[in-house]
Amino acid sequence: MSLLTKESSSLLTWFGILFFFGLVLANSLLLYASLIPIFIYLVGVSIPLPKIEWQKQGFPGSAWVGETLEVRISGRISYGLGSAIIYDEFPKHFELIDGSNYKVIAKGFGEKRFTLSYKVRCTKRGSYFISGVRWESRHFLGLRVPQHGSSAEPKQLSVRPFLPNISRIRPLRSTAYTTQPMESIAKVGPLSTDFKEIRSYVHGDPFKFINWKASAKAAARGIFNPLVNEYEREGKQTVWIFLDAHPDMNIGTSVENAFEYATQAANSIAYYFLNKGFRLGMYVYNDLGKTFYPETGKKQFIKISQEMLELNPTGIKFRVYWQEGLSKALERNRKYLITLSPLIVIITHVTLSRLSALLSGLEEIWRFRRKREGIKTIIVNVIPYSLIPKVNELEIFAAKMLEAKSRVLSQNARKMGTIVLDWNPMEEALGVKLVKSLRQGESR
Amino acid sequence: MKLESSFKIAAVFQFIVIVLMSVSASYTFLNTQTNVLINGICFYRYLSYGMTVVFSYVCVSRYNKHIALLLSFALAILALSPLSKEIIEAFPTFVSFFAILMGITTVLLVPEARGRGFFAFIVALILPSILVESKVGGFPYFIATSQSITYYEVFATTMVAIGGYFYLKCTTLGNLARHDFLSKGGKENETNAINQWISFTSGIIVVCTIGAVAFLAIIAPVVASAFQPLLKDQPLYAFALMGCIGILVVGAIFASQILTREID
Repeated sequence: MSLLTKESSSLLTWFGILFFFGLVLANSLLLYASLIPIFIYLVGVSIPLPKIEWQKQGFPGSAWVGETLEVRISGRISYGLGSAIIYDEFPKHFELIDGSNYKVIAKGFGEKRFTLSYKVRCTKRGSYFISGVRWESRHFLGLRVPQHGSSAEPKQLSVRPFLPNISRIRPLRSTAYTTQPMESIAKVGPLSTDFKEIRSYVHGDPFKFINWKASAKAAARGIFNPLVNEYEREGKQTVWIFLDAHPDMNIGTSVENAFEYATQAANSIAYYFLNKGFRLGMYVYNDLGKTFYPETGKKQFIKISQEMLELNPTGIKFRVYWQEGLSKALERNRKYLITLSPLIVIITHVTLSRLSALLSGLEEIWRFRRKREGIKTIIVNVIPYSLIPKVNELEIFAAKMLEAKSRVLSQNARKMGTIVLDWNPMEEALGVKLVKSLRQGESR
Repeated sequence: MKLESSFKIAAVFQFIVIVLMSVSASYTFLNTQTNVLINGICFYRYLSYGMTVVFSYVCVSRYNKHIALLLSFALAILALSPLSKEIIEAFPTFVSFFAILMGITTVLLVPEARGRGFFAFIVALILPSILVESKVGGFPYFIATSQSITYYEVFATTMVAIGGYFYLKCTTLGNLARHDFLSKGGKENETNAINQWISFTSGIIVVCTIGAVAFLAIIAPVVASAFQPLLKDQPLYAFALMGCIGILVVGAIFASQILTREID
């Protein structure tokens, strides 16, 4: 960085020229005139740059997508003459909705206090490093090199996907409405003390579970096989989410695209089931094969939510694109799917080119089932065509055609006995859609 | 062009300075002469006329290129016409008009132009007047001589022209800073305040500087005449005195630098 500014160099150059010619021509006028720029320079340079002190308030560590953050910066400017520029930099995915994050302040002879308040909206999920408040102090005549400064350490801000309120599912009536009733009990795991039923003894049952009284009564009726008590397993059923990260999920804008809504859906579903006490696992396919092992509780939700902040769809910049397909993803998690027999939620975007891969994946799911006792797979088909900005009627028409085509394609999966939820994020909130779709009758 | 009241005051001051600069420069120019004559007219009048043609285009083109081209062509045609001698002879009398026109164009109407052309034009105008006092030079015939004006008039003219140049330069910097801030999203009232401060403070500094220079110009001969006999009679004492003064000046500069660093 140069020690002299352009203006300083100009004044010193003028001094040099006038002084030199004054000496050469023995001209006292030129010599005296040369004093003007050098005096201006010396007087100007002796006046210091404004000094800025500030304090930032109202900046949280985490926020939800769509949440508005109100930031307030207050401070004072002391010493010197000139101007100060204070600005608070935010990543490009933040939208300034009120006020200004940039302020220019003129500093006269007295001390000056300032406040800078503005509101920003978090538009996209992610983990951001906010570089914080920056300032620039300028000399009133530009004779000193401007000083720049910033807050010591960047702060991290986690913007989490929006969680729709899907807790208002009506209570069950005589028959289970949902594919996965809230009382679904795990099929594996430690036994509880809750009595389930009495059944015939099979090889391997512990002797302590034999119900001697019932066995004696049965023997009187001519049934000589002992009867045993069976108890409920501890914990609830498992839910397994398969999230598609195929480049087709990039349809939309950089802020609003299919993948963004898919992660929002995954986050919401995870929150919903984990909140109800279910065990939840997740696998991101067509990516680098990230598995979240089945766990229960809030800790699991935080873990999944945190990992999803860093998740980006493949095919962007240098991200490796690994076309894994649903079948391979299922194969990779086979041991969990067989032992836990979970409710499978596939979040994807159904297109013609990938329909066969999806259908073969669904066939694979059927093979894993020990008992084909009901539908245990939900497909969330994110339809992103209305997210694309359109400029004319033809583009609007094309988007509608593509949406209709995707809905028709998803019918193939529905024919295989799967619940398919065609979700257009611009038309309907995810919560409402899930409430509807989780009702078996309506979805079919 | 909508201007705030503070900005208007600054603009009025700038205009006054431009008028002062141009009138004083043309006054001394009218009263200086050289031994080198072309068609019986001072060489500098031809030189300044040529510079006027060039710089009038440079200045006015900041506002409108077509008008600038038309003006330059008109001036060139006049110089080449049968009336050329009369035009160039009378040039110093109407040069103020051009100076004001150029000043208004570059400083007031288009502040981003930063006085390009106009400042150079003023330097060209005061050139003969500042050469009046020269005693030696490579081309002694080109050195101007005063016809009817005194040393102090030439001195005042030079100070007004050079001081005015730096004043306008500083205020133009203020304008540039204002535009810079506005382009980056600064508020109008804040940037006007900055401009006002720059105009006001730079005006004070330039006026004080001219005052200090004038003071030095007046006391320098007095000090010199007092110092000469001392140097002749007691040279050692005179050198010691000069050394002490030098140490004091250097000490003052160091002290100011240290103080400034502490504040920063």
